[in-house]
Amino acid sequence: MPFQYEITPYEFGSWQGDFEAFTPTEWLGTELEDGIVVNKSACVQGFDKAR
Amino acid sequence: VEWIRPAQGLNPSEVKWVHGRKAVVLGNLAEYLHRLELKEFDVPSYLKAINHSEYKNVPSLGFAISGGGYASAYTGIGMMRALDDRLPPSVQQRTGGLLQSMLYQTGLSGGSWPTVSFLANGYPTVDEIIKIWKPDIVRPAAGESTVSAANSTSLFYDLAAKFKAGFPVTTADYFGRAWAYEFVPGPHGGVETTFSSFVDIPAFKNHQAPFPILHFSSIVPNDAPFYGLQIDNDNGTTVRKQSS
Repeated sequence: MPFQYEITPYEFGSWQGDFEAFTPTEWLGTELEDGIVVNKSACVQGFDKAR
Repeated sequence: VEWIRPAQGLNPSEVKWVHGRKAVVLGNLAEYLHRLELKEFDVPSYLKAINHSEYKNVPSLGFAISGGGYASAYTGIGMMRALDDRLPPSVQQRTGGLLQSMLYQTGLSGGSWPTVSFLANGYPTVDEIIKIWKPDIVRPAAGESTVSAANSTSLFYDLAAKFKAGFPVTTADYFGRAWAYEFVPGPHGGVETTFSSFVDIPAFKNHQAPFPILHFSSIVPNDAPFYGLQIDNDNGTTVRKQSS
């Protein structure tokens, strides 16, 4: 079975499965490793185009 | 920034927003219930009973619009129209006002179109939004780029920009950009409009609209192809876990 995801203006993620976590919608696309930003000067904004 | 929040309870910003919305819902629900002139339900006592404990007992009402392209988008907004107290016939039918009492609005696929579009346009009435939408345009095959539609070359330029920024590009990006011209206001098909920026839209900030949630699923290896593309075929359920 596939996992279900949701996105709100605040966060993106899933209540299910291996994920069971959320990350801020505004910063989607930013590369994380073990929950930490890989490169602070390369944070991404604007990935969450509204469609 | 809390980069990873474990899925335990709701997002703290959402909790705060919900509190603000419930104050608004309480007022709207009071108006609605008074209008109904119910004979066997003590409205003042009920309102008194839910108007304490930080609105904890104000009902959390929500509605969902299913997937199904324009059919679900239009069926869904037909329901919204019937529940909207800004439409006199809906008030007359005693259903108008329930939209104003909703805490959440969710959508999936075609149902996400109204969920995004109403807020992006400042939560107008249904009769206003259908003048903005232009479903007669065949979006994946528009001939020329206008303010209402983009041709495929223009859409591929948008995709190329995403690819050049280092992100994988999928068919969903193409459709997303094409339909953004339909549902998202702003220059170049609302390309600069982000979902996170909705927190700055007055209708959201002032708690004058339900909280939007978009729902989606993922492809799994056994999903059957449709016109050569895999489509997520399974149903699923989301349970938003309250913190204990």
